[in-house]
Amino acid sequence: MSSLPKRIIKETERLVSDPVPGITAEPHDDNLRYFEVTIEGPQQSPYENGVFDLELFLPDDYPMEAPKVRFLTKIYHPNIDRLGRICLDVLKTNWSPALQIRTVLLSIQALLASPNPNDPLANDVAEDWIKDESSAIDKAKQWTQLYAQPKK
Amino acid sequence: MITIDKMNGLLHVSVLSQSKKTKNKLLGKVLDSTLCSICHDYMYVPMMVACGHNYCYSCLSSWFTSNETQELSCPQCRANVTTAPALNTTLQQLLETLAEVSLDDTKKEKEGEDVNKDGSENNDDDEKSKIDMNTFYSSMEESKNEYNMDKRNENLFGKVFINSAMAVIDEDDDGIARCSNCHWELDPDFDETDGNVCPHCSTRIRNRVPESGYSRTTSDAIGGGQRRGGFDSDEYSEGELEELEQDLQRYHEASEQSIRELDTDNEGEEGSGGMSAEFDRRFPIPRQGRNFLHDDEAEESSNNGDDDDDDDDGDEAIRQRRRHIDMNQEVESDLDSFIADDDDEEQELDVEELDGLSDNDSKRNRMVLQESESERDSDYYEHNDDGYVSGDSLVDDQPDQEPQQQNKRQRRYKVILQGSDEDED
Repeated sequence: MSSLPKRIIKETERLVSDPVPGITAEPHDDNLRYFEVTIEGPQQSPYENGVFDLELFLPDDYPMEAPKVRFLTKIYHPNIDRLGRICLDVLKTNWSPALQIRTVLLSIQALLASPNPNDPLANDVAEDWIKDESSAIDKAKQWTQLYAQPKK
Repeated sequence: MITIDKMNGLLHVSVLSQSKKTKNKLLGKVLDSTLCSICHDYMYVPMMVACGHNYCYSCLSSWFTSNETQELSCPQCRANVTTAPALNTTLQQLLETLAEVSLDDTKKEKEGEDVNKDGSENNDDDEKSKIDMNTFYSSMEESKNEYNMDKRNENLFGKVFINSAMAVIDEDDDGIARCSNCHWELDPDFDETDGNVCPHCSTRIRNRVPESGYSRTTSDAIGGGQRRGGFDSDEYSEGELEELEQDLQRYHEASEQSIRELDTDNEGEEGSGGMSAEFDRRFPIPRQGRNFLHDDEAEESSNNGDDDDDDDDGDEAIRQRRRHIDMNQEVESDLDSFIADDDDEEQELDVEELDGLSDNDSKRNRMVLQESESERDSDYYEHNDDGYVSGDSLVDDQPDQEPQQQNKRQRRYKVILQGSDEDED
């Protein structure tokens, strides 16, 4: 493996020494570009009290290219599909090298707090969300209960 | 202890009178401002974007060149970057000063180690900072060399500010955004499919395509992109265009001349009206660019008049030829020498005509006949692809045969007439 850029080392150090509240990110032992991430569901959201597992990978071009992030835990959200892929502008066209792992994870946490059914990735979820928001929120809560319980 | 220069401003006084803790905190902030938000390292060569944000030269360069189909934007504020960032010498000096000070202090402490024994507890730190300063200076050297090399080779930012275009709206024109390289119309939403690239000339557009109404003057774009000398994607160079214009002018004059001569030519034979009256009737307002057509139509109609009389073919052919000699005289003045020969040639033809044209297998004469027939049918060239349309085939003709050359010229002329005719349609 090619030597790790200074920036990645610095970011990793800071993620450990000064973690973002409600978010953990630990590099994999075998591959320092691969991170195991957990994000707590934001308060007053359908995902409250849930802990979601994600994987994050820093491509070779990082930070010129956005990190690749995916939900591993099942989640009922209009902008996250069955495979856990996330529809978020900063992960695609609006990526900027001034962003970091921590800011990206914060953006994902913010996305949980404010689902956007008008720019959907999971069409069926988005339709439900627009048709009957309260029942969709109930379902999201159920799924959080079912799949996103913190490991003991 | 601290002497405050009276010349210094209020801020100097205020900062210098702070506690050591506050000063350290402040110094930390100052040091942070020398860090690049892309690589999180010191900006040895800080480049300032027009919006005011600073990055390492190499970081900014790789960001601009990382995605060839994106507009250029500031990583921190996403402001559009249309002009090349400039070296921020103030920030560069600040970093160098900070480094020099810490290096001096390290040296002093080293020298005074024997005298000042209380430095012993910091010995490890001194060693560490010394090593760090070495890597610091070698990194700085490396970064500066890279920048200076690119600057010398006019390769700053991978030439992205030289090789990209801008979306420009000329309010005086039509208010539509156009590529500053090829003037192709740019759709404000075009980047959603193919990226921020001109769909016509494939040049990267470095600004966002503005919606109509957003005004960016033409001079702005020129200021940002004087580098595009000519229109490299255009079909013609400037010299070629000039040449074409001159050609057009020459043919225009020539055709006018030939109309006048046709007029006098026909007056004797066809009597009433003359050709010019016929032209005026058909095309009451002669427009520029249609003169070729006039000429074409003129010949056609004059031929139509004689069409019923097949025996006149030879005679008509010679008459046609004479006209074309006159025409060529105007078209290419350097033909003067040939034209003298042509007159002799014509007399020869006259003799041949007397011998009886129909049986004559003289090559030259047949050429003339063919020519005559072709002129009877305005669609001749459309339906007979005999290769004369190509300029190359004309050149390949044997140049030593005078009549053929005449025909060649005549045909070339005809082709142009035909071309203009088609264009009009």
